[in-house]
Amino acid sequence: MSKNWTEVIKPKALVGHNALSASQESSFWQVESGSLTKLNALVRQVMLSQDTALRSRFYAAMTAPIMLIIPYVELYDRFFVSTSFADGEDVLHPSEVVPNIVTEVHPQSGVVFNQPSYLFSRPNFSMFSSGMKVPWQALSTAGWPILERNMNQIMWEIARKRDAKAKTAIDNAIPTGHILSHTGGVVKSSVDYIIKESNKIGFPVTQAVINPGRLMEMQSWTWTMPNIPEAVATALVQNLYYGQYGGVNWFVNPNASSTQIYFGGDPTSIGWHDMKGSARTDRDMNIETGEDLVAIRDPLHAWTVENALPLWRLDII
Amino acid sequence: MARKSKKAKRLTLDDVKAQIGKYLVATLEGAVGPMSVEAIAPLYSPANIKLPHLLLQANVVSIIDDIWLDDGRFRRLYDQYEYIKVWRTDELPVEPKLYELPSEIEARLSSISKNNAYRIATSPFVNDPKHPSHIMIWTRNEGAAGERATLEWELKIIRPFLQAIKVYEQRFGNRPEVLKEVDTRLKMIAEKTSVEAQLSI
Repeated sequence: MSKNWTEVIKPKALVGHNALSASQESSFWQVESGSLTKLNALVRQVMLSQDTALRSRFYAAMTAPIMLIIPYVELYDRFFVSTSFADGEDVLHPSEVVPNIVTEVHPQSGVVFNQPSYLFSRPNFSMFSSGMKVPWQALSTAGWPILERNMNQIMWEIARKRDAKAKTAIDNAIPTGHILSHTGGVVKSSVDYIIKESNKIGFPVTQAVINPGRLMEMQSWTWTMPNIPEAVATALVQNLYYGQYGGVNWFVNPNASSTQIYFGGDPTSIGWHDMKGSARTDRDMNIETGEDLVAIRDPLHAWTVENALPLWRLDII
Repeated sequence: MARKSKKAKRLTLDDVKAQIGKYLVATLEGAVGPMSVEAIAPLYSPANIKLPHLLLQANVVSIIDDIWLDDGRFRRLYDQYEYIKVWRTDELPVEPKLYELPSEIEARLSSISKNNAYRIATSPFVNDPKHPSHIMIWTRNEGAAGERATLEWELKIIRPFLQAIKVYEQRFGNRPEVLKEVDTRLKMIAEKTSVEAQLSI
């Protein structure tokens, strides 16, 4: 008995997989190993066929639609250290509150003893899920790339939702003094202020999330040094920005806000992104309505900022 | 009789323009972040001229250029945010040492505790036990062995920390809700100390 296509070509099981990278997967489908030879043979048969109608139908089905959106890649997760926990595991984060003190004393005076002073906190977890319903009727016109694209878009949306949570955790934690409100285009002095102030307090910013359009305003900055190094000038002409400015790793993405630029230091001095459990996909079919169903469940996620001092934000108001 | 509005007392930028004084200065008041405005280059200006971008910081008085009094963007910000203060003066205020503490507190404080105290006083405060500033004011010591060790820790570590928050808070926002929490805890430590002293006798 011949198999239904969903039995041969299945969505990749995300169980035990890092769901973070799932949004960047090139393919979410895997072909049953026993059927791969048959599938390859079928492709070859169509390719070699003299039946032009069959060939054109096949090409149409295999042609990916033009993308109307760009893939969503998580932007703000880079400010957190990722940790994974098993289902049911208790997640506790210790946080130092008031570190120790050493005093200058008279040789005969007593010693001031320090004690550990810490708190434990349990993060609040969130979960995201989505699914895809494929009517069998649609399979007559919608080919493989269309189904794959649909799956990609769902994973991008899950990534977008996770990212919004990470961003909220950052926004809630950034100290007021670390938010520079700026009117006009992004200027060198504003960026320099953040780099300088972050170095002053000992938590230098080393990475930034910025919209490429904003970063390209760097091209019109006034560089007051006598001569811009050749490499910098070349980069400014070719890319409209210099990627190593201020020792910061400028992470550009069109999905990044064009009115808010986020700066951060080393993730190990900021906070955690905890994941509990595993992502999973479940499949079924509804014979009454004639549909294949794919349900996607992300693991539990929580983002905690323990030290907000390395975080800065430039708001364009 | 019409009620007098506090808002009406704030000078407009046109009032400031009419003031007499050698320097035009500005600052931001309260627990707010810095603010900057991009200066626009005049037409046909030579390339690479250094533009006088505006940068204002909380509780730091900066001399600003007169062009900002007529700049539409700055006027909009000034109308929108009451914490922007602009005035003319002949004498520049001495730059306040905002980060300094009285030496008796400073000597008993680690640099990170000092940073934390400064941050609490310069950040928004929500009177909620889950708010980071609230948690820090009410820091518990889960590692202390017994009541006496806890009291010793509160006296040597927490009391100077709370005193530092109080000094900074009075210097910046002077918010009653923050001072109340700090004073309540300081009072609790003082009461425990008093009981401890009586028991020792």
